[in-house]
Amino acid sequence: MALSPRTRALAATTLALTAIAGCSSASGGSGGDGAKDGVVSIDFYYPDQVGTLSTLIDGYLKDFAKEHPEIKVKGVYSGDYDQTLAAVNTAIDARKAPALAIMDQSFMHDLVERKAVTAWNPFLTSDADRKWKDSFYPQFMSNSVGADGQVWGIPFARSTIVQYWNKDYFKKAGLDPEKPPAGWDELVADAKAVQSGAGAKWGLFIPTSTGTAYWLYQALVQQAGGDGAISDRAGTKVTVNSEQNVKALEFWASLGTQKIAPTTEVAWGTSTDDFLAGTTGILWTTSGRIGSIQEKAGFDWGVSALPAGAGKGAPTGGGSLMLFDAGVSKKQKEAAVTLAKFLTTPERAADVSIKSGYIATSEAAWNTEAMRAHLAKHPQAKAPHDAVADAIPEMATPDRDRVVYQTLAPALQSVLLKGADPRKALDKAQSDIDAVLKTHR
Amino acid sequence: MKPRTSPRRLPDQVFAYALLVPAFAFLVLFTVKPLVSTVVSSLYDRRDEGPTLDNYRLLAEDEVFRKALVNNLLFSVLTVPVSLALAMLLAVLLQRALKGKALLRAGVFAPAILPVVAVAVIWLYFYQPNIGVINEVLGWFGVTGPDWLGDTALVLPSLMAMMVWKEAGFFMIFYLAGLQAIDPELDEASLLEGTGRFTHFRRVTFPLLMPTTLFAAIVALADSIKMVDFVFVMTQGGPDNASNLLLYYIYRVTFAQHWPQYGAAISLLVIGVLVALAVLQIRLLDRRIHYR
Amino acid sequence: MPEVVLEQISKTYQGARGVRHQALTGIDFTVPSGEFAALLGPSGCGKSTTLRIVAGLERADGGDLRIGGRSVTRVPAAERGLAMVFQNYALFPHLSVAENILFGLRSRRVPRAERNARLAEAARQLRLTEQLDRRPAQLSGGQRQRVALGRALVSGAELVLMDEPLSNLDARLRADMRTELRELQQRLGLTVLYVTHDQVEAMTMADRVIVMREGGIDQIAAPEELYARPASVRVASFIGSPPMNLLDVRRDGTWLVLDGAEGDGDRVRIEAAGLLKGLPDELPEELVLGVRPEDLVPGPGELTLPAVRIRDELLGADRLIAFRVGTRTVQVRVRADEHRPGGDRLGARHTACHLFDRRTGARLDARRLVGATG
Repeated sequence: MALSPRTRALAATTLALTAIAGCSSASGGSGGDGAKDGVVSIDFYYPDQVGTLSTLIDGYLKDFAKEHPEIKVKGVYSGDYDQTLAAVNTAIDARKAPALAIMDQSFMHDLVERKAVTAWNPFLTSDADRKWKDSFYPQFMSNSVGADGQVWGIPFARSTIVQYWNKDYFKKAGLDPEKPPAGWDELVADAKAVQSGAGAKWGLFIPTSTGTAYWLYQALVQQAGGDGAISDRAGTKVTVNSEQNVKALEFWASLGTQKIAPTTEVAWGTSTDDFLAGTTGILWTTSGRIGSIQEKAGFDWGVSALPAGAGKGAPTGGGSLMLFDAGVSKKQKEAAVTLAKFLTTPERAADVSIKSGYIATSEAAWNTEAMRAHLAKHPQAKAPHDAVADAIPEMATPDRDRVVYQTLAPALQSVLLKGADPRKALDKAQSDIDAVLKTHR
Repeated sequence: MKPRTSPRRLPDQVFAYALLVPAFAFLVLFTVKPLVSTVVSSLYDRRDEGPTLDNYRLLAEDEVFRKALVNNLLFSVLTVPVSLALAMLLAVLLQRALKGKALLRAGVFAPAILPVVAVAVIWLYFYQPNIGVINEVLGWFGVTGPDWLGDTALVLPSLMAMMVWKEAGFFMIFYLAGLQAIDPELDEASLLEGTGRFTHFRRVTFPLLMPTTLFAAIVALADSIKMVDFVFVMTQGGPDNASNLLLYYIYRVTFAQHWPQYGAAISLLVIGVLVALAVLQIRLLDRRIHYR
Repeated sequence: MPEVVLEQISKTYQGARGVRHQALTGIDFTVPSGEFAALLGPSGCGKSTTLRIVAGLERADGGDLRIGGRSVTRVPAAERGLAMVFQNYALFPHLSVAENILFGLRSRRVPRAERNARLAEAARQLRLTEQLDRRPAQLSGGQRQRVALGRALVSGAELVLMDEPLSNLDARLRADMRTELRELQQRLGLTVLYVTHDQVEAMTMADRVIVMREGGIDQIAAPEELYARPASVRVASFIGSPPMNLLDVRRDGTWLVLDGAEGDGDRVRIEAAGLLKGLPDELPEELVLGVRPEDLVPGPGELTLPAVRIRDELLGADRLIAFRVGTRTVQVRVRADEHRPGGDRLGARHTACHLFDRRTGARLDARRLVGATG
């Protein structure tokens, strides 16, 4: 065929363009029902907030492949919880959702509302299945079960807030190093004592970062005698301006005015480093930090449940295993359930706890050989277990980013960092949150 | 000359357009189509029902958006001129000093070469209240440094300072190139006439750099709105939304809150503001610019 | 008055990789006040460097520079009381013609009324009155050139340095500007130091030409003298178009033998008793004989060369005829309407012949060598 050079050049360009356009439609992951030659393929997204989890999971997945050759798992490390949510959202929009993913449990309402997740109930039909479901601590399950009794999540990497204190400072300040503050008065007195008596720059750090302020606030509300859960089970009713809510925030703000804590942001990320550097005598933060404090502390330290006031208990947090629906076949979901069971055996729950600092999710896990040996060596690791007994659910609502990060956290920060009036700030937050939640009822 | 007769030969006009097709295709695919779908998307509510103007109504009363907008305007209005002024000053001062000094040059260009995330990580440690370099240095003089990123009043200025550092280094390269294009005879003529260095800068160098300045100002303005990586790394918009910027808010709305329709509405507003500012800038400066 | 005196000015440049490059070696010359001096030489000869040292744009490593009797070696450029016209005019592209011309006066804070008066005067002299509001980009090459001149004139400086100011103009305009420049210089009584590589510019405008080569001076002379009595082979070959015919010869008694011919039988011998008379006996053996093309005529003369005519070239009024002398080609210029001579000889008068020492390149001059006879 005798084409002129021009026509040939154009033809080549057209071909190239077609090829580019073709790429976008030809690419794609595990389509169909993922079954081929009797082998089921599934995607599994897992975040890692602490840096040790992904290695652990990689190992478990290798073991799983040996034990279950009929299931092929593609593990996808997906960053932190927020990035995982974004990744899952994108996958859902493309109808190529992972069959299973570890999600921040507090995203549950959003995901349920968008019908992105599948309830576990249809897959838990035998007695053994139900027994497995009931083996997890109810404190952890409370965030995973909807108002209608549907189970949306299986606890995996869970945590709560605990109190760390610097025993060296306590000794130096003339306090009993084995006796952590057990109430607000003691907390303030001890904090002042380590400042004046032991020369600590600050007495008490309760992180005020946008991402976690609500969490610590929940504990303070509980201690003030209020409902620390803040949200109801359906997540659509939130109370942040009760008397106890205001009292809790007033107490928190008083730490700054009494110069026990800074009136600038106490950053979640670096507060552990500050505790390790001796900048503060007492720190409230996640139980997940026990491991790193254990490893790095150059002084004698203790860890306990949070102090109690009119009420007691701290919220739980962390990630749960969730099943997804978009483009996932029944077979793949069943395979995902098999994987979930494999990942949550008492032995593995204990292993996760020992190696990452998350709290073992069942009593059986605490009674394993490995865990007993670990506790014998590191008695501090028992504190989270004790804290779980009184744990309350984590605040969880639909439109969580707007309610929690965009409305509640700034309201708290305006009081803590800029000296706004607690009642006014909370009243405003209440009406803003109500406006957001109104659209979700 | 009679053209070669070939039945397959395309007329010039058609050929010219045909050559432009790939460019047009990419423009449509990556600019026009997304823009149109953004407009359409912004007219639907969260459940994709519509069309409705609810998103725009919400925009009018969204306090976080308003805060992000004010923050961003402050951020742009202050960082763009300061970065450019500093870039120009550095370029003029370093023009001669930089000749043949590779190490010095590398040092000066470093901020321009580093990715924003790397810059953010570095400055995150500069700004740490207890272990940070800045407060460490202040400590030598007996000054207790503030918590740069933890104080609602300081966080935005702190981010601005970092942005200026990064952008000044970047735009200095443009200005160095601009200075290369100025005939050295002009400097000598000026010198012979007894013109002072500052007068020479004001009457010759500065006006001759105006085309560079206009270009850099538009790029800097776009940067000040689109470069928000450091917000992710350093502050997540906090505390109390004091460092929330428009694009970060769009990200949160679109992805974290999974509300692309509202995100689209905010995006359109930002695009509108950007285009308006760019047009204003060009109008304002174009008259005062001499192009060679 | 701005007499310019250079004494033993030297300059070295630090080249790449630390190699030092000698740009000027002991430059000595004087430009008397009100005179037009041209620094002439090929590119890289150091003429621009010399000018820039006088201007104060570069500093000499050694030697003394005096302007108007004052040593200015350490005086900043702006205080030397001179103006400069640059090769590319150095016009500020963003300023109007008027602003360009007045730029220096504003820097020197000359009062507005005086500025305007000087501007009007300069614009009138340079026929720029119509163009005062234009930008340089809107001007022709010649107009730009005049703006650059205008800037030099309004400064009131009596010493003006010019660095190849005409090199960016086309040939016709250049010829016009040469006349204009010279007129202006004479009318205003300016002292001008003018750098060029174009001998025509130097010869037509200058009172005094300083021929430079490789960082040194070959000859300083008035144009006529330079043409009539080039001090060296180099100057002889550089000045004049077409250049002087130069023949390598060997002295054999009163004969000159043309070098490079094959075999003794074909050797070209020239009877030169008359030419060599008056030259000392210790004359070197190896010489260069030079005759300008217009000084040779077909047919015998006081000095006669055997020659074979090989081709003709008509140059309008003149005709250039190439002859072969031995193995060398010489150019002869005659009037175009002169009848075509068919002869096999070329003649020249003794006074039109130049002799140079082949080893040193220096001119051999009866009067100078003999001493006080002239």
